[in-house]
Order: sequence, then structure tokens, then C-alpha cells
Amino acid sequence: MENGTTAARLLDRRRRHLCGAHGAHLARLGRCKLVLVSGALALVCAAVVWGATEAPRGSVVLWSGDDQWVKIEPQDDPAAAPNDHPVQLDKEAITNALEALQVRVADPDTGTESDRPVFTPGELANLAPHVASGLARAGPRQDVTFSTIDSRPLAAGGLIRKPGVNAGRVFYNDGRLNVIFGELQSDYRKKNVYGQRSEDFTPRRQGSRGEATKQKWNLAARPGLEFHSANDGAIRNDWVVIDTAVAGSEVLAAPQPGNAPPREPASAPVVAAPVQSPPATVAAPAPVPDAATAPAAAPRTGTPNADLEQRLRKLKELKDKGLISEEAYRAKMQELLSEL
Amino acid sequence: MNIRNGLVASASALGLMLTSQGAGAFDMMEVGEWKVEFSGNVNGFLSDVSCESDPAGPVLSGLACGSLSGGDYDDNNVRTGLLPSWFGFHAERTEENTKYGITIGFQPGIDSGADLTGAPIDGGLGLNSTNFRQVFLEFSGTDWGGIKIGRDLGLFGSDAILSDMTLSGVGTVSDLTQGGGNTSLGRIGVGYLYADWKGQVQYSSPNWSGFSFNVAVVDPWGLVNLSGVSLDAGSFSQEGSTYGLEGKVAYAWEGDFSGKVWASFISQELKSTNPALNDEDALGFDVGAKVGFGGFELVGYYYTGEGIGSAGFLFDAVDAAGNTRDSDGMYVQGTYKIPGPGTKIGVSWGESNLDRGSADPAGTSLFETNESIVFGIYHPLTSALQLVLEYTQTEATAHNGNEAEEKAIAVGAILSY
Repeated sequence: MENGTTAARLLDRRRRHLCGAHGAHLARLGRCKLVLVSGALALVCAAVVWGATEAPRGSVVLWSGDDQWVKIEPQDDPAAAPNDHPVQLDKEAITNALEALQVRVADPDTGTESDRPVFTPGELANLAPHVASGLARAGPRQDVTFSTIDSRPLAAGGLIRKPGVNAGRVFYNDGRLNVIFGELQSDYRKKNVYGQRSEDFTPRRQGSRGEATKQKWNLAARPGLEFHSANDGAIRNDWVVIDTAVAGSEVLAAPQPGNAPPREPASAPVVAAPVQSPPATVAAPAPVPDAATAPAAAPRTGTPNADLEQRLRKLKELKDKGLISEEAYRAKMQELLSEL
Repeated sequence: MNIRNGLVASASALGLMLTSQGAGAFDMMEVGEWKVEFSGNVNGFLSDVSCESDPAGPVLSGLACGSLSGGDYDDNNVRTGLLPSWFGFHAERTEENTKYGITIGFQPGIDSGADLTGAPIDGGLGLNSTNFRQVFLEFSGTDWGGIKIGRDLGLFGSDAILSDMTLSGVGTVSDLTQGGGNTSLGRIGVGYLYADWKGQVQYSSPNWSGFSFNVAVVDPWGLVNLSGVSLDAGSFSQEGSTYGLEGKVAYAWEGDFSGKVWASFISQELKSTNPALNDEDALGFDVGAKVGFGGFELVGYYYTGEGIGSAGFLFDAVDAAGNTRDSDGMYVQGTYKIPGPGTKIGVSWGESNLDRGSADPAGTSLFETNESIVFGIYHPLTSALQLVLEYTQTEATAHNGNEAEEKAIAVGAILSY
């Protein structure tokens, strides 16, 4: 109570202080200085109000936690072709596609190269459902961006693990999933500014259509993955184009740790679910407003019938090469044929 | 793995990291269940200070060359800037949805801290000053927020100093830090009250879509008589049956037009140990905003208080008869980061004012206003190394009209790791 009285007295005194009751003080401040300060504060206040009303249009946070996030953001290049968004891709298909990505790592001591997954199971568990949700909500002029963190051993079986950051943008175009990496298992550190560990030491780049990002490591070539070829013919190692009908097949077929049998394919093991209207009782995800385009069309699927033959050929090729099991081949074949 | 074993393992890991990773190895690592991180900076500046004092007399607690009144003079130093050089150690782990960790940081200055060692300022056999500003434990959950216990930056005024561009430079030097000391003043006392490092128990709320709040019970402090015309802790005790209290609410948003607005308060009861003096309250409020768009960043900040003093909390807060003094201050700052090289150029202006207490004579030479303008260029040579060039002009004016002026040019570098 006493504090409240003190506060009121204090504020009143400050008001009189600034409004002229203390004439000598006002004279000391000077008219020009008051104009300068008032103008600057008014500018900041106006900017705050404007910023608060404008900010939500730029990006939509789908998920964030523990310094990681998945967002819907505008395309990085206004001149880029519009994406085929919104698109309904199955969470499992996203998981399989991202799970197939491998990074080629060189041992600093021996120089021996080996491949390891880009994403850990923990990252995939956070990433896949929100990317699927984002692609279903995004408009043609929007990408789904992400930044995830997880730790990996410095050496096989080693005690010391090192956190790495994966960040980039995901979009769906021409029946394929595109991922542009801005960070690929980059060092994760927070800059210590006055004891506050809040600012990323290296900004998390989200990947760019216009300019390749130099990475410490390179993505490894895998079945179902292609590197984007730029207009000048240069191969973009930071930009991978994924055929979701193929990528991840070898993951399903490969023996799992602990002598577990190969993972059973889900109802739609490596590709998006077939075209189906959502149940009448379940509302389809509303596309996020995309000011640059007309209202988004209804979500399309990632498996147009036109390329069915190509996908069947690819599937057989994978089986012939021994990259997928007979069981996975048959299951996938049945699924594709059921689309006819 | 208990905490002690974890930290022993962490310390062992440092050796492994240094041998296996080579230079630039101070990354965050995981050792068993613990994440450990070493971080901080080393900075150094050539500072060329020119002082013009008033022949009529000093400006008590003035920050432009301060209370010195011995005529004009220059003072050059190789010194640490506002940001102390820093060695910070942080370790954390998560167990059953609770994240917990410790942070310890010490801050070695590169110039002589004569008052700590007894050696003369800038004399031979002197030692550099060393602070231990940070030591705290914390634990948190995503649902309920977090608790911090220990010594860390205070809440009131914290966003003001963290938004100050001179945090990467030098700013005002003042006689308080001319010949040594751990850091310069930056804009402390010329725009905001120093948040300082305080023993505290702090609760931090979760972040609700950008909105958050903090509240802290802090170790109660005593008065500081910097000017020589104020009461000190001998008359008002920090050992009374009270704690200090600080709180802050903030809202931050992201996007092309990012920003943050905040407001905070500080409060402490001053318990008199002199029967002739009444108990008093120290109470202060502040508001601030920071917005960024397209490389531009604007900051505006204002504080006001009664009995909180100036420059540091409770510095010259009470006159010689035990009456609290009012104070206020503000600063505005604009910076622009040039696309490509990333060079940041900036200008800021600010002032802090201290009114007379009811027992202060009208002709007191106690400072009325400390004011400064700063021009700075901050160029990132690499992501870790930044070059700095700053010009700071500080003016101090006393209630009786005495004036002092300080012009400081600083050039140096700051390397973060």
C-alpha cells in the first residue's frame, strides 16, 4: 500500500518534472533536446505498434521447443516458381524420405569416409509430423523451414558427443520433395554476451534457392535422391530432390539394430497416402494466408497417376539391385497398383 | 551420475577436447549425461581520453572525468571495454523432464586493478583485476518455467545494458575507471542504472508466444556515498529484515519486423540504523522498446525512481539528512548493419539525472545531469572477431552549474569464443 502511494507520488513528480513545473530543469534540457527525445521515442513506439501488427504475416510457427522450430515462411526468392502447395503427404512418407538422407563424414585422424544419417530418430520424431502439417497448410508461395538439434558421438562408442544443427527449407514441387540445407550438422553454440547465452554464435541459415550454402560435410548420394542442378549446370550439394516413392526403401529393407527384423512398411511406407477426401467430420487443415497468391487450392497428393509407370519401374529396379526386400517390394507394388 | 562426478567428467573432457579438436574447440559438448560449454570473450582497447574540468570546482559524482577538478588533462590506457573479458563455464542435463544446470563465470581485466592488490595504479608489480560475477544453479521445466538461485545479472535495467551498443565498445570512461578497474562504464549512469550482479532467487515464466515475465528476490544492498555528500550504508543498513524485489515483463516477436518491449521495477526497503532517521523506500520503474527492420535497429529506454540513486543501485540515493533523492534517465539509439560486410554503424544519446534531496543546498556541486553521445563503428572481421572504433563525448553538470567534459576515442577488438 505504501509502495503504491510512493509510486503515485513518484509518477506525479516525474510528470511535473517533464512537463514544466521545474522550469529550471526544463530550461536545462533545452527545447531541441526534448524534441529529439520525444521524436525518437515516438518513432520507436510507432515502430513497435507497426511491427506488432505486421509481424505475424511473415511466418507461422508450427512447433518450437528447446531452441528448435518448424515454421511456415515465405519463399526465399520472389522469382521462384510457385510450390505445389498445399500438399497432403503422409507423416511416414516424410519420415522415410528424411531418414534416407545421409551425410558423408571424414575421420579427422584417418581420413576414412563414412556415411551417417543426417537426422537422428529424435530429430525425425519432432520434424516429420510438423513438416507434413506445414506442407498441408502452406500456400504456393510459402516453404516449411526448420531447425533441429541433436547430439552424435564424436567417435563410434565414444563418451563425448557433440550437438549439431540441421536447418533448411522444405517444399514440394513437380511431384518431389525438395530440401535445401542451410546448416548441415553445424556446430551448436550460444554466444556469451554479458553472461547471457541467448544469441546463436552462427546464425542458422535456412538455405537459399539462389545461392548454394557451403557446408562442412556433403550429403551422400542415395537411391531416390538427386541433387538439384542449377541453371548454369552446377550441382547443388545443399539442395536435394527426393522421390518419396523410392527414398527410404533401403532403410526399410536393411536389418535393424539388435537383430530386429526389417521394419514393416506402414500402410503407406515410402510415399504419400493415396488421394482421399478427408472424412466429413474432420476439417482439412486450413492453408496459412499467403498474401502473394490467390487463395490456395485444396491439398493435392504427392502421387499423381501420370508417373505411376515410372515409379513401378523404379521400384523394380530397386528390388533387382537388392536395395529393398522382396516383402517391401510386394507391399509397395500392391499399393501402387491399387491406385489404378 | 551425480553432479560431482558429472563435473569431474566434464573437466576431464576439456582436456580431451583440446587434444582432439585443436584450435577453436570451445564448442558445446556432451559428456555422458551432461552438456558442457565454455564461452566468453577477450577484448582490449586503446582509449585516448581528454578531460576538461571546471576551474570553479568539481562535479560530485559526475561521470565526465568525474569529481576531479585539477584542470585539463589527458589520460590514455590499454584497457578492457564495457564488456569484461569473460571465461564462462556452463553445464546442464535433463532428467525426468527437468533441465538443470550450473553457470560459473569469471572476468579478468587487462589493466591494473590497484585497489584490489594495493599496488599503485599503473605501477610496477601490479596485477590485473578479476571479478567473479556469475555463479548460479538453475532448474526448469517446459510447463512451469524455471528457478535460478545464485549470483547473476539483476532484472531492473538488464535489457537496457544488453541493448546498449557500447557493450561491444567502451563508451564513457570516467575517473571511476580511468587508471584501472575491470571495465569502462559504457552508458551506465548516462542513460540507465546498472543492472549489476546480485545474489538472487529468480523465477522465470515459460514463454507464451513471446510473452514472459520474471520476478526475483534479491540480496538487500546498502547505500553508497560516491559523491561525499550522501549517506552511506553506515546509516541505512542492508542487514534489515527485508529483501530487495525486482520484476520484469516482456513481449518479443520475430519476423521481418522483429522487436521487444519490456517494463521492469526494482524495490527495496532501506532500514535506518540511526534513531534520528526514518526508514525509506527505494523504488524504480523502467520501460523500453527495441525494434529491428532491414538492418536498422532502434532502441528507446526510460527509467525513473525515488531513492534508487544513479549509475549504480543506491549510489547517492539519500542526502545527508536521510531524505531520498529522485532520479531518472533515458537513452535512444539507432544502428544500421550494412548488408554484405555486416559492419554496424550506430549513434546513441542518453542522460541520467539526479534531483537534490530536500536537505541538499541549492548550490550543491552534486551532479544534476550526466549526458553523453556516442558514435560507433563495429566491424565483424570474422564471425568471432570484431573490430571497434568509438567516439564518446560525456558532459557532467552540477546543480551549482559546474561542468566537466570528457572526450574519449577508443579503438580495439573483441574476440568471442
